[in-house]
Amino acid sequence: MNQVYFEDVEPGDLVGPIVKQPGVEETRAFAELSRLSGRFVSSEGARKEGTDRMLVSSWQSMGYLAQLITDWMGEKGFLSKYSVFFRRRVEPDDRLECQAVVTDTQTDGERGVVTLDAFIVNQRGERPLQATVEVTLPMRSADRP
Amino acid sequence: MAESNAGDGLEFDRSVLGVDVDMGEFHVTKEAIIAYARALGETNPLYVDEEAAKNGPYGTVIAPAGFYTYMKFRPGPNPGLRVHENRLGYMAGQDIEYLEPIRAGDTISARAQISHVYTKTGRTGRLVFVVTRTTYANQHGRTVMVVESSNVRSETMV
Repeated sequence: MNQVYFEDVEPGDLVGPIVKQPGVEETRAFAELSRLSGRFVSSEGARKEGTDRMLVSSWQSMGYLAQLITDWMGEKGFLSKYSVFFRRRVEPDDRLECQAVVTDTQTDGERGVVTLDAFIVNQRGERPLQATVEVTLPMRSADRP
Repeated sequence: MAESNAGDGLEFDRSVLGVDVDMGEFHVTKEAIIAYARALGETNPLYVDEEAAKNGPYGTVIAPAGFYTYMKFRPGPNPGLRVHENRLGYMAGQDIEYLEPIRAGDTISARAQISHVYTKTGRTGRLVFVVTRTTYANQHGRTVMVVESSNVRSETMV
């Protein structure tokens, strides 16, 4: 697993994308694991709940966006804040491109704190999820013996 | 959208505001972490590879960021809102602070309180937002994460 260090990061850096396209089975499997039902497991369940289509749960899509960040930051990084807003519904088979851009970097000399805007773009160019993320990264100088 | 505070004619149980509710405990197994991570397509060895995780910074498998949604607790506080039964509720947002990882073998306790109830009026009518703050702690009494969750529903039409 690659490790990113604070000194390697600058505002404007892009992270990702990673692409997810959960189908019906994958969506149902995640929902059942998470003890969700109704609109998250079948079209019939969706109709019973008064919505026209099966949906991917917010928990699943926010998990994908978090994966983008935790894969990028490496095992010595720490995800410290994750503020996510759900703007549109996500349906099975939607193409979800997870991306982020570094917006700020701060350090106390031992650890570096990086702020990112993270979001998912679907196949229609919409952003169903948008987030602000704060990650603590190791510093090369602090890693030296 | 115009925002109003909870006092704006909304009918709910105000006695639950700010009251901490003990939701019990959940024991975290490595099998649960790995199953959750795989359901998201995770390949991060900290989450899915027990041997690699042993040699990592935490010495064991740790939970991905969203694992708290998998943990099952007793129900949290209920404001008893009068909302339209045929209209679905949705999650509007989550504001999460992580303080330390949840590790395989941890026993996590949860306490929740409703911190805020407010309305917004939009194109489709009045929406009711309920903000719940849940604090998760491990078996050592250390807070591992705090989640502020905002859920929205259409107000009753009666």
